[in-house]
Amino acid sequence: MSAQECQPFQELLTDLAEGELEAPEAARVEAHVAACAACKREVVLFRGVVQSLSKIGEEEPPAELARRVMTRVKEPTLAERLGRLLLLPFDPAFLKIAVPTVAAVLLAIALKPLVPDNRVPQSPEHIAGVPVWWGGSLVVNGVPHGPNRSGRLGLKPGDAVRTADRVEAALPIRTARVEVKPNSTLMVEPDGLFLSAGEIMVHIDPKDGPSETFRVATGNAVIEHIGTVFKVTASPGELVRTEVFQGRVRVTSASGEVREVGASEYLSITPAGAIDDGASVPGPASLGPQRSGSEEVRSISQPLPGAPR
Amino acid sequence: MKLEDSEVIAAVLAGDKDSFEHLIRKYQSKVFTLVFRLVRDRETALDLTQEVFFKIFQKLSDLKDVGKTSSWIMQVAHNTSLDWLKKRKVDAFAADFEDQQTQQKIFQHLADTTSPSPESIVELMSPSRMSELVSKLDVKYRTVITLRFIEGYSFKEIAKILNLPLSTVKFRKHYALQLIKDRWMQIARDGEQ
Repeated sequence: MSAQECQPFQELLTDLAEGELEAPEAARVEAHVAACAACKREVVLFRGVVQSLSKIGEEEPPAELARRVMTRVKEPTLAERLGRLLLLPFDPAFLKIAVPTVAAVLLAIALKPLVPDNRVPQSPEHIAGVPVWWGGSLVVNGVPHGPNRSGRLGLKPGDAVRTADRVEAALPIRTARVEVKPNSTLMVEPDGLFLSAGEIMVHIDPKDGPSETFRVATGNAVIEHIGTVFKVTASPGELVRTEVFQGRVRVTSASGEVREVGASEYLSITPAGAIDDGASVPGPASLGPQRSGSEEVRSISQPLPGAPR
Repeated sequence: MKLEDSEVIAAVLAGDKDSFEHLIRKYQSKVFTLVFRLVRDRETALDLTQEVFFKIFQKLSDLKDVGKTSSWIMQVAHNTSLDWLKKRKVDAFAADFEDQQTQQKIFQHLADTTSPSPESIVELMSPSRMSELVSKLDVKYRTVITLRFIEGYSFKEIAKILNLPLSTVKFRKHYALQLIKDRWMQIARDGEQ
């Protein structure tokens, strides 16, 4: 066939190779290709190119990407910082903290030249091994520990930890670093923790291996990570909700039902401990700002090496 | 039950910053792949992908139609990558194979036959070699190839992401495939000589 006869079909050959042509046009182009050796050869080559391109696959981003973005996302905005600063001077709790803190800082500055500095610089990752809390006292087994301090709590199974309003803490529990949000109450357990009220995030270091299991128990459910990232929200008298970010989790309800939940899925447990398959589950929008006065549990674990995605 | 983008976005806008991680986990591979294919450097792609998600977090309230979350995110990724390329005046055009000799060896055995069949040439194609050819294309062609064949977007979605007429996207796809095929054939011919 002449080049002139093939010209109208040129652009359609790649569509044909892709399988993108609608039926009537596809038949017309196929008829031409069947009668034209040059175009037939082109279609075979284009099909080969398309098939090879389709097998390239997406790039796997580095594992730390989500963590790095979330760290930045969670930084207080300028407006939030200003808001806090404007409100703090009128807060009696702040004055109780601020006066001794300022005094301690001034004393430390005065004594600094006399004290050798043996501290090792620490990255945020290193904080995982050191309990820290800020914004007020951390109450362990009913005993308040002073504000804005780090210490060696050496938490053990059976210890009860409570944070008051505006107090946050990062605690080492077994191989995990547990971020405890304000107004939270939890108890350390041999294989994880029991959260009776509030909000937590659990970070498990991937290098601890898949043999490590970390369980988050609530009043009516137990959530175990299977090398994954997940969040749990619990409110007494309401549904317990498990959201999965990556991989899978196994949820065991109080009634004994077991269900695995995959990435970008969620599962709800009723107050009676049954799995709720209904659609009338409050969405994530009902969390966060509306949780005042209610109890909430959140748990996030890092993926473990070699774990199924 | 599947978490919908609308639910996640509503939660984030209501103040639940943790929920934003759902969006990151869902779209990070697609964003990272597009950015990496455009800037062609893994470290830069990682930095820019972080930048993309932070922009998305900051501008989440600007998203008018949550049904278009995917194309909106990819649009931010595309624009961020193009801005980076423009600022650095990175050569967006194709270069020859760095190791042409190696490529020629691939086709050496074809020289034994007088006219190799298209099927025998197709047999030598592999995703890794195609990936290399794509990276040598002009940025506007490798963008379309990446979105269409590596990430699986429809032509309509690609037109939305790139803010281009559908006909332009289809032409770029056709032209890019033609370029890749021609370069592959060129290497095959060089290998025969």
